Amino acid sequence: MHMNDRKIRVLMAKVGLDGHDVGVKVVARGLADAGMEVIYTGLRQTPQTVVQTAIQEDVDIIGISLLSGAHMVFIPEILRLLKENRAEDINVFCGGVIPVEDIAELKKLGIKEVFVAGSSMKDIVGCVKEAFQARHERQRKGQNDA
Amino acid sequence: MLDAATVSARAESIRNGDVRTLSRSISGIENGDPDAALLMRFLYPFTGNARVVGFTGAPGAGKSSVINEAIQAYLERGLRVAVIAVDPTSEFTGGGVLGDRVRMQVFSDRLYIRSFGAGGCLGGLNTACGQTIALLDAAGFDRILVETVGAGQSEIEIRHYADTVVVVSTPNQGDEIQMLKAGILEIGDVFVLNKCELPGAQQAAAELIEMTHLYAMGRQNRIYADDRSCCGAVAPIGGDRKPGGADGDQTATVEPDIPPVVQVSALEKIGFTEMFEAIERKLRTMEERKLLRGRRRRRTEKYLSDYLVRAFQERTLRDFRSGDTWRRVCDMVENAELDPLSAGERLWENMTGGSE
Ligand SMILES: Nc1nc2c(ncn2[C@@H]2O[C@H](COP(=O)(O)OP(=O)(O)OP(=O)(O)O)[C@@H](O)[C@H]2O)c(=O)[nH]1
Ligand SMILES: [Mg+2]
Repeated sequence: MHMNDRKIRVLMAKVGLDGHDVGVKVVARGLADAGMEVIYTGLRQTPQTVVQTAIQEDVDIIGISLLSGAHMVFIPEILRLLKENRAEDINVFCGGVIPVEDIAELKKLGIKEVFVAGSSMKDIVGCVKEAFQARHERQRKGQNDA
Repeated sequence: MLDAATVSARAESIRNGDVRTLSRSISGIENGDPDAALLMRFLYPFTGNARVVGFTGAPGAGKSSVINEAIQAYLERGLRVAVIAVDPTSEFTGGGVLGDRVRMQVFSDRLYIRSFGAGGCLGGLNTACGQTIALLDAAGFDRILVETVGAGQSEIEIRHYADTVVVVSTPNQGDEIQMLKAGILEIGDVFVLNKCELPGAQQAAAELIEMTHLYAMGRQNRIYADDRSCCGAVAPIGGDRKPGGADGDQTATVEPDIPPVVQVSALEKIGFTEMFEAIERKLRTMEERKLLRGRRRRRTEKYLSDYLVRAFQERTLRDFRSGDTWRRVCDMVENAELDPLSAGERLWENMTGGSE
C-alpha cells in the first residue's frame, strides 16, 4: 500500500488538573475533518499515561493541551519518557496558554511546534502532516539500512 | 520488504512483550504492509490461547465504561488483557475522533488498548480486525475484549470474531428493549443492562429476560446448532435427534441455553463481579460442550471465504471487466437485447468456461 493511503494517527491529550477541554476537542475535531484518526484521552493525563498511550496506539504525533502553566514540567518529562522508551520518532506539539519566552525553550528541547491562542487549524493540520511524512520517511530509510 | 530473519526477530520481540513492536505491527496489518503477512506466518502457530469477548450495543449504552470494569476484573485475577476499541470514522474523509479510551483509564503493564477507525475494521471485508486478534493472541494476552461501533453491520459481524458476545443495553431504551434488533438478540451470549441505577431498570431487566427466553429457541436451532455442526455433533433440541460424527458419545440432551441477563452500573460500580462470572462461565461451558471449536471453525471459514471473494473481485473480476465479452454483454443489456439476469448467467458461463 502506498504511503499516501496510510492513515495519519494523532493522540490528543489534556495534561494537568484543569478541567477545560474545549480547545483540545476543537483541535481533535479539526484534525479528524482533515481525514486523520484522532485518539482522544480525556482530561487529567500524566506524562506517563500520555507516552504509554502513544506507544500502544502507534501514533505519528502527540498533541498536548495545557492551560495550567505547568508546561515546563510536563513537556520535558514527556519528551524524556519518549526517549527512554525508544519512541522519540513520535513528535510532540502543544498548545494552550504558553508565554512567548517559553516557546523557544520548548523548541530547543525538541518539541515540533507550539500553537498559542489564535493559531489557525490549517497550520496545525500542516504541522501534523509534515511530522507524519518525516516519520515515515525515516522509518523507510531505517528499514533499508537494516 | 524485510528479510525473514528480521521479521522472525520481530515476531520473537512480540512474543516477549515488546509493546512498541506489537503496536507497529498492528499498524502494518491495518495498512496492508507486505511485512505484516510474513510476520503472521511466524506468529500464527502461537495463537489459540486467548479468549475473545465482543461487546456490542447502541451508541452511548456504556460499552467502553463496562469494558473498563471488565479490564479491572481481569487484571485483578492476574490475567493479561488487550482491548480493541472501534469507533466510527467519516465515510468521506476517513477521519474521526476515537474516544473510547476516555472511559478506559486503567494503566498496567498487563493491559494493551488499541483504537481503530471503523473504516479499517469490522464490517465489509476488511481483515485487519481478525489479524489483529491473532497478533494479540500470539503476543500472549489471555483475553481480548473487542468494542464494536454500536451501529450497522459491525454489531452482527462481531460474532465472527468473538468467542462470546456481550450485548450492552440500558433502561433508557425503555420500550425499545422490545425493539432490539432480532439479530442482536440472537447473537448475544451474555446480556448486560448498564445504568441500572436509573429508574425503570427493573422493568427493562424483566423485559430483557423475557426476550432472551423468546429467542432462545431460535438461537438453539440456528446459531447454536451451527456452532456444533463443525465439531461433528448436532445440537439436539428436544433430544430426539441422534448425535453423530466424531463426538458420537455426546449426550443426547442439552438444556436450552438461555443467555444470562446481568444488571450493572458503571457509574456506581455495581454488578461487575456477576458480569465477570457470567462471561467466564459462558466461555467455560462453551469449551466443555465443544462449542468454542465450532465457533472458531466458522471464523476460519468466514475469513477464507471473505478472502476468496476479495481475491476474486480484485483479480479475476477486474481483468474480466476490461475484456470484450464484458463490454459486449453490457451493450446488449443497455439496448434491451438481453435481460440483466440472462446477461449475468452468460457472463458467468463465459468466465468459468461453462462449468458450474
Ligand atoms: N447514569 C449512568 N451513566 C453511565 C453509566 N455508564 C456509562 N454512563 C455514561 O454513558 C455515556 C456513554 O458511555 P460510554 O461508555 O462512552 O458508552 P459507549 O457505548 O462506549 O459509547 P460509544 O462508544 O460512543 O458507542 C457516558 O456519558 C457515561 O458516563 C451508568 O452506569 N450510569
Ligand atoms: Mg465506546
